[in-house]
Amino acid sequence: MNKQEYMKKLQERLESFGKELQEEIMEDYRQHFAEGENEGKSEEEIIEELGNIEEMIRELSEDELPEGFAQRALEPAAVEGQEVTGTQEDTEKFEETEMKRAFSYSGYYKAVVLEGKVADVYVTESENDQIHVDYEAKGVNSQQNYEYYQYEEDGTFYAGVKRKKSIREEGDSDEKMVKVTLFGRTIISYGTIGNVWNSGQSITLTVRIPKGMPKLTAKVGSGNVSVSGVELEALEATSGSGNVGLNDIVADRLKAHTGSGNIAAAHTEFISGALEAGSGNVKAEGVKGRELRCGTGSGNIKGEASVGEYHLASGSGNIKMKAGGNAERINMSTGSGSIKLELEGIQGMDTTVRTGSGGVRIAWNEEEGQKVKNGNYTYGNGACKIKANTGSGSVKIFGRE
Amino acid sequence: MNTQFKKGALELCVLSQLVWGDKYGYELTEKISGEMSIASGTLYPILRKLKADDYVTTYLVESESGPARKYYKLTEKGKQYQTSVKQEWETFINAVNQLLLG
Repeated sequence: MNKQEYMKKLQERLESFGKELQEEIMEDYRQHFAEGENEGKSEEEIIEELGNIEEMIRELSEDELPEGFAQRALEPAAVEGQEVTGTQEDTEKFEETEMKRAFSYSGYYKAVVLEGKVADVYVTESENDQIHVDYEAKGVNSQQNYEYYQYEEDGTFYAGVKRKKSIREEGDSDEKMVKVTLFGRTIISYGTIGNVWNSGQSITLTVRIPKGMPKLTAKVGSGNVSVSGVELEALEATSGSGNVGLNDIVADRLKAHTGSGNIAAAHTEFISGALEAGSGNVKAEGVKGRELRCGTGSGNIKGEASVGEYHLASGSGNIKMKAGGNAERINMSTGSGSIKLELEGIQGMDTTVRTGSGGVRIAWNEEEGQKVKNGNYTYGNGACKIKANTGSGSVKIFGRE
Repeated sequence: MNTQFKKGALELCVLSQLVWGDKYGYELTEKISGEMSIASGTLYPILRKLKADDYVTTYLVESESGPARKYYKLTEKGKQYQTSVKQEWETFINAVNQLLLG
């Protein structure tokens, strides 16, 4: 490969990241070539030095995802930071135990904010106008190290799980403990710290919120979040490394994030919905609304939806979408995965497709097997604007009026 | 190597280079690839990220050799970050060394 070919490939692979970024990285590479040539290096030497473009793209994909994915993915699971745990005696005392508590709260709140840390958080609708919380902790660690809290401020209801202040922080100096964190992660912990958060340990927070609650925010570190059967103005569900599940929800604004877990939304209606995973898969089934955004670093995006605008982006995964009646605009891009789109009940489409090395196939109203190349294609009245972009995967688009 | 780990280490290397003065992209990649085997190209996204996080700023300087050179300069925030990550790194290395001894 010579410089020209290399730069062309670079340009193509950067296409999906937007013009500005593309030009910036291209300029860095051009500068690198100029400097290298100036030192008397050959094109081949410089290309070898710059290395595999895919490797650079991978690096870039980690950062160029919506709203700081990398941080979230990095967010250490809360259990990793455990400092001091009980003595053997305590352990026996708590073994196999299960603690359950139930709380009810009355009053009008404009928002509910839940922070679960290691806990799994479930939210559903309350049968009356009270907020009900069931807190359940199983096993020794969960009871010794975490506790439930609740408070309210400014008309907002806060509840969650927090770490207990260690009772044995002092007087343990003779015990050998090492805890090392690096780049935000616990790399090493031994001694009496880092007691295993084994399978018997779990904390569950089940919250029932009144009908008509305007806003819900649920955030966990290593736990999962599941929200179902609620109607809200705004919903935000976030997990560091767990999964986020949304079912049977109506919300004007809906946001779901996870660092390394998966996201699944089913039977959900919204005006704008954003489902963003760092490395997991994103699934949207039976979703309706005005605008749907799905993003993942390396996972797949799969769904069946009926929305006006689709924005689907994956770093390296596949995209598979079944789009219903009122679609106007569909943007799909993946670094190296394949794209498959099925359109139902649309008057026509105006399509721009691009793939680095995969095949392209567009079929409209059962006219099967049209093999096309990168470029722009219009069918029917062109009502739906579609852009499909992949680095190396294939693109398949099927449509029916 | 764990990518997150590698990335963190590279970030630290880049920031530490800049502690000693502003450098342009090629200069940085040469310095780092002189010590470890990496694809120089991967450093550009890292530099971009450091800039986005306000750890460095950039400025252009005309060069007689060709296109203008983009220089990277450590910000105050970048300096603090470098100090804290460097400390983490040293603690880590010490711990590993301890453990290697048995």
